[in-house]
Amino acid sequence: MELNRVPITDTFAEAFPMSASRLIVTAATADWARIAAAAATGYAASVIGCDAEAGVERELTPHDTPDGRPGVSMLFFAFSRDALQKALVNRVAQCVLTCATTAAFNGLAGDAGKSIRVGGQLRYFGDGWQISKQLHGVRYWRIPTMDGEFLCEDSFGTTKGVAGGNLIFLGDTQSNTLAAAERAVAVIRRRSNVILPFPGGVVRSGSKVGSKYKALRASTNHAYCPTLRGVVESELPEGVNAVYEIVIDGLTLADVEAAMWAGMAAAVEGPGLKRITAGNYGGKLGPHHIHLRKLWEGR
Amino acid sequence: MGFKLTLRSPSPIPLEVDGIVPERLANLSALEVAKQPVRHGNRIEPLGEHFVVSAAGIGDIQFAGDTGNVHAIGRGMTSGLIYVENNAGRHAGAQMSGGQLIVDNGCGDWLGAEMRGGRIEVRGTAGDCVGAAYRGSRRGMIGGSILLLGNAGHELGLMMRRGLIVVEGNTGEFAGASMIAGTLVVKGHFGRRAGAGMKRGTLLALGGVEELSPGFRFCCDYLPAYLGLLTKSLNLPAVKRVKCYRGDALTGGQGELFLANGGP
Repeated sequence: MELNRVPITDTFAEAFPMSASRLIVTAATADWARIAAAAATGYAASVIGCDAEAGVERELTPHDTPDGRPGVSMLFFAFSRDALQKALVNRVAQCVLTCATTAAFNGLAGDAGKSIRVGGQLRYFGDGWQISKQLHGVRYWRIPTMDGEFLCEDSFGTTKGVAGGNLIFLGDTQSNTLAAAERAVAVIRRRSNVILPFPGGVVRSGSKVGSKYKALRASTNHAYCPTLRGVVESELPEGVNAVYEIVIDGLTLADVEAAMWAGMAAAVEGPGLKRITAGNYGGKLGPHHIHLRKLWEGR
Repeated sequence: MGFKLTLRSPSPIPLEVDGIVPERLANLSALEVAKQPVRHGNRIEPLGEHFVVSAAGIGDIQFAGDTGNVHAIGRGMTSGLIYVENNAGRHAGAQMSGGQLIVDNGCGDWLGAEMRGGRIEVRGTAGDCVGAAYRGSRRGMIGGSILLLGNAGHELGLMMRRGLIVVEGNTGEFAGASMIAGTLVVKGHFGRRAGAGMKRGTLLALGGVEELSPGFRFCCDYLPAYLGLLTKSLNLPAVKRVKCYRGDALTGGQGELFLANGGP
């Protein structure tokens, strides 16, 4: 199987369900909204070591936001609704509430009866001066701050999202391989309902489950490290000298599949890419097996 | 199936149509609707003596004719749509908890008094005590929304606890008096002593206040994030800055009065 003369390994990405939520942050300017978003989605690359996986979904114009100011939409994923609520409350409290001029809104209708409380938890920061407002059946909290007030929606919708969609790019040089990954990231970032939680959307430290050290749950994926090709059972063909991975989390399986296909199609449009494959754990980790062949055949 | 109730002739004696609401008429025939009791002065009479009942019409119930002395239209309704093509009398939409009431002209006092939910739209002026608490009650409106395209009388939102009232015109005196919570938006100006005795809640005056209550204190000049949300969701003109006053100090001082485009 080849795409633009780049071999595609007949394998699958193994994805798994995670609770997901969408946070919309607005601010007086687009810059301040971006600053809040960058802070709120920081240290959220992988649930292996973070409380959540998060990323910026897209920037919003004043026309698209609830309060008519520029904003940023973000997606958050965690293993359970409780974990998601804890992560969101902490992140909104420390990174959005503290950021000048911001307001926080729920961006997901979500599944019935499965909402989490964010503003409803943060309101206590108001120390009794917080004000509750209901508008069109939605409750908001207004918390006095030194620059005016912080407005936050009481509850956020959640849904069962899909995390762990991935593509692995094998290339001849570091620069060519990174360029392929960047092309994939660029097209995926134009899509709604998906995020790329790692820095720049790209992972250079793909991991395997377990380690020779008992305390570690994950360790470097030695089979994909070019510097170890001569001393381990390597997965790298001849001529491959760099590998990058992208990880995709989405609100639905279809969103993740569509993003993976878009990423593959974009990545092969440049020189030096030797192969595209995907990461899985033998089918034992997640119920969603996204076969690269089926993505191709479905198009 | 909806019903059109056309008033046969206006009467100087008040006619109360308490209970003539969509959920009660939903499974009735026109003949059965005509037999429903209404109060005419101090007598209970069948609705058909005062209204011509016909099928169809706008919404679930349409009131037609000179209904300015027909009171309690939509009182206690929980669902559906009532459309009044002329004026409505007193207590229209009072204590309703759901559905929608549209009055294509003005209405009398106590519009939406002690309302719990739903939506009222009046395309003319309203009398006193819109969304207010009845005398002796502890709470006025506790939910829903009222949109008034004309002026409102005195004591708008008296003791309201929750909900939203938007007035395109001006209000009389003591709007938001003893308010417990909720939001009043007035595109014109508030009459004297708006917010007197209010504990919490928000008054937004886009056109000023005739005279502030002495229990209000100026706090700052700013743009609350909430106003962006409010004005956008109500299709109101965007507000750049407001003068924020807090009061009434006599009752805790946690209410707020926002004056857009200048102070009183």
